[in-house]
Amino acid sequence: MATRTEDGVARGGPLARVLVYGLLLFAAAYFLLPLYVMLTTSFKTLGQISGGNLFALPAPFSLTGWRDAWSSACTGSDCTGLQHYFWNSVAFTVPAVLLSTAFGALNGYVLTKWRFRGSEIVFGLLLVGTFVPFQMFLLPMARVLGMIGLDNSVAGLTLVHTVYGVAFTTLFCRNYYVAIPDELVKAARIDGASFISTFRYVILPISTPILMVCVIWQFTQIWNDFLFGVVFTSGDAHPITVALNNLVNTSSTGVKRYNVDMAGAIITALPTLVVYIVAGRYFMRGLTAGAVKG
Amino acid sequence: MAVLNIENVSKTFGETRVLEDINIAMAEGEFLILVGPSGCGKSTLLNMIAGLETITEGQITLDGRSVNAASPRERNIAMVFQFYALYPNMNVRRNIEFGLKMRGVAKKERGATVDRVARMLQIEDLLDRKPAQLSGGQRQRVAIGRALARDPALFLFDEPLSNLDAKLRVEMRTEIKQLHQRLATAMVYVTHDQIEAMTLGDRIAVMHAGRVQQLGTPREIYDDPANRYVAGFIGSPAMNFIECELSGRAGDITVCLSGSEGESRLWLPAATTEKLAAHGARRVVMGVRPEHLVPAVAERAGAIACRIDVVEPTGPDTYLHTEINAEPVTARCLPSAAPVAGDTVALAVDVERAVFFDCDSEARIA
Ligand SMILES: Nc1ncnc2c1ncn2[C@@H]1O[C@H](COP(=O)(O)OP(=O)(O)O)[C@@H](O)[C@H]1O
Ligand SMILES: [Mg+2]
Repeated sequence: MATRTEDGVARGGPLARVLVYGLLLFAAAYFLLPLYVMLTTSFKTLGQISGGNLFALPAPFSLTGWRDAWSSACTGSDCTGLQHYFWNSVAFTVPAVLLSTAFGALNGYVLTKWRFRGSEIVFGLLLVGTFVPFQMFLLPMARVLGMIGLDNSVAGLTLVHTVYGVAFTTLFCRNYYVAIPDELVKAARIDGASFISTFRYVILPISTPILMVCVIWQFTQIWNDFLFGVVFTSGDAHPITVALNNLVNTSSTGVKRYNVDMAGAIITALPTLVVYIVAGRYFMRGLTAGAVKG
Repeated sequence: MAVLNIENVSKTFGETRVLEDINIAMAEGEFLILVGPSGCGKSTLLNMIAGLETITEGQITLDGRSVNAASPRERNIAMVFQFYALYPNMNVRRNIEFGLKMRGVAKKERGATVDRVARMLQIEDLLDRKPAQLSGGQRQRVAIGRALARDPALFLFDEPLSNLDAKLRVEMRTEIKQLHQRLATAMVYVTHDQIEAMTLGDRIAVMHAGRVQQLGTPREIYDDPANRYVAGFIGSPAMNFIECELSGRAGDITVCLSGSEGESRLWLPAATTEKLAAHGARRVVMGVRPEHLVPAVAERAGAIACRIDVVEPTGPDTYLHTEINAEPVTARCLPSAAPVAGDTVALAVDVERAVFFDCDSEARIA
């Protein structure tokens, strides 16, 4: 039976409450259990994995899986672990995230505060960019990279991810800047600020939430990308996602080393997790901030 | 020499004509008001003076120099906006000194200017606060401070008080007037509030539909409106407009006014009749301000017997609503002599102060 509560929301009786919490716990377990299995497995020995219970805690506790995944596991013919590819990913993800975010912010600033004839059309075209599926990019982009001599390189991947990401970051930033009163920019112009100083001193300092949104979004997209990585690079230049795939599919001894696979997967996922934790509290704020008048 | 000279200026946005042939010359130290209803192009004109909008046609000169092609930075102006437009990330001090910083003024000199401005506006204790920590009135004060810091040749205000509550608005209005008297720098002040226009301006430009309808001192605008639009826009309560028939001929023109309880014939003054005769129309619109339509002192010829529908005390005056020639009109009386609704009162028109407009063109006839 529903009873009125202090906050005016009708809630069910104890039975309904048990049901709700039960459902929530189930949902939480559904998502957390795989993580639990990954973590525990990565610290187990091969012996315990082949003989033991999937849900048992590691005994003995072993770092072999992690060590091997990082520095000695084979990814194809190369047996130096994921470390080289990890730094590959860092090498194109960091500049691509920063560049696409910077360009997105500048584009958003121009499209909202320095409108020019046809700026709506430019924005419309950029918007189309967000709807174009990855796959359509592959062939033309491969041609372009070849022509400018950036194929099979970290610099090439940086370029691809920056170009593809700008459509998204522009959309985010434009929608955020639209809510900032135009009078702010007018005041800055009267105060003698140039196009760049207005951006630098007035717009940028109040953009933190939306820049965080761009960084999280772009970092997740770029770091986790597999398709561009596998198509535009080979061998040494692979990103970590492709290397992880190779690591899991290479077994020199014919035995699946689940502890190494799990450790590799966690190593691959860790940076995105860190970015979420560090920048995440801005994420929701940034996504909703545009709705509130500054 | 004129501080600001606006010559034959027009503005179009795409296909829409927003301003049409604007001509205004402003003397040194003058306080000029641009007043008009929302959407009549006041802000657009102000933005064109500031350099925030391009000039479609005509020319604007500041201190004798054409600024048509000059950026806001190159014009010696400062502007205060309706929504304050304070930089939210900067504290009050940095807001005020931003314009100086952008112009490369040394830090020490900037500090001295901020202190001087803060003292003048009594915002010294707010200098370290962010705009979000200020009340509306304080924000507007800071916005004015930002304009003062630069010591420009011309101040532009775009409805700076319209976001404040009524009481604060009146206080700030007085302060702005004092500020102007103290600085003696020319100011262009945009408002849609005719009381602000009357109280602040040395001269008022009444704008409507993209044109300046009349440019003159508050007295001229009030007593001698150029057309029916200006007459109706300025003054509160608004001027009464009574459509009426003229009879007689030059030198001896009368007008017939009928209240609900009787009608009466008024002889018009000689100066008025001459102009009316020259114009020739028989049907005209007579404009009478409420203070010139008052209960007759004694049984006097020409008083119109009217049944009062509504009595509206405002404190110093009481307004009476009734009808003349079947049009609603407002009369004014002393609170001590106020009738009650339903009474019949004889109302006298001060024909010396009445004005006449053409029925169709709404232009002033007499
Ligand atoms: N950037 C613009 N593009 C198109 N029309 C505009 C633009 N700015 C103003 N207008 C139009 O010009 C007219 C005058 O606007 P404005 O000067 O802001 O009026 P006011 O300040 O008197 O209320 C309005 O009809 C408005 O819609
Ligand atoms: Mg306006």
